[in-house]
Amino acid sequence: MTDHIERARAILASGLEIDPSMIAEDASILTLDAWDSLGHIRVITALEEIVGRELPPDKVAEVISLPEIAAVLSENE
Amino acid sequence: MSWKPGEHVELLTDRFCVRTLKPEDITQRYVDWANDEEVMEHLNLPTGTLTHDKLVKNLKKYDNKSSFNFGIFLREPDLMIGVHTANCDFAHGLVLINVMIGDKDYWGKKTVLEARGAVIDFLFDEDNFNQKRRIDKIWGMPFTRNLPMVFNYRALGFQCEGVMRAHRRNHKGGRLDQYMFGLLRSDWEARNRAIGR
Repeated sequence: MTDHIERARAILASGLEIDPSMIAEDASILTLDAWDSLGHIRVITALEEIVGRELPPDKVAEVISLPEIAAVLSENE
Repeated sequence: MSWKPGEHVELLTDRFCVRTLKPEDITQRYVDWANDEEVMEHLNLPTGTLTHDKLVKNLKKYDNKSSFNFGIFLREPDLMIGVHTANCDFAHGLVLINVMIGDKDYWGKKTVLEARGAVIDFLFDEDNFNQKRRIDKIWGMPFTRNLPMVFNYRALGFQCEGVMRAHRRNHKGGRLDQYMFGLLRSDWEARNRAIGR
């Protein structure tokens, strides 16, 4: 899971164009100030490219934190 | 604020003034948004169908009692950047909301969070809506690939209550899925606690 967290952190950092060190392990759209709507598009799109498919809508609605990005990566294995 | 049903509404945030739209607010700038493919994409409306006259006529649908059509204006200068609607169903204490940010300089700037936050506070305020007019829930129905709007709803504490499959005809062909996002008072309070508000 640690590996998934680190990969998720890299996706989030790239999407939000910030340094990974700024992202806490429990970072979410409520707590991470750099997470905005355009960054959110980049994060979801990057995640979908990695898993190789469009995420279903119910899953997209859940992806609002670093742990949830990591969970999508984990589920894709 | 002291507001009575039927009166114009004016809500101030750090950056914006969210206020009842007047006919003189329907400028060419607003009409241009209605002709911009990128702005209209997630509203599932073809460009070119909303003229100045239609937009002015549309204002008459809103009575400031159970239906509201707000302009989102910069506080300085007084420039409109988008619109936000709210339609109340007092029988069930529900409000259906929608938003459009036409000025692309305000995309990705948490504009909807700030403006909609003021609208939500207004709607849940029992000084404005009480007893038979009390609001218990606010909801919205963005299309599922409207990812910025998914961000906006979730960042304001709305919960995904379902996905309505192929719920609308796409004006470009085919059909579109729609979310149901809902916000109870308790969701709003929990969200505000989470951000230290």
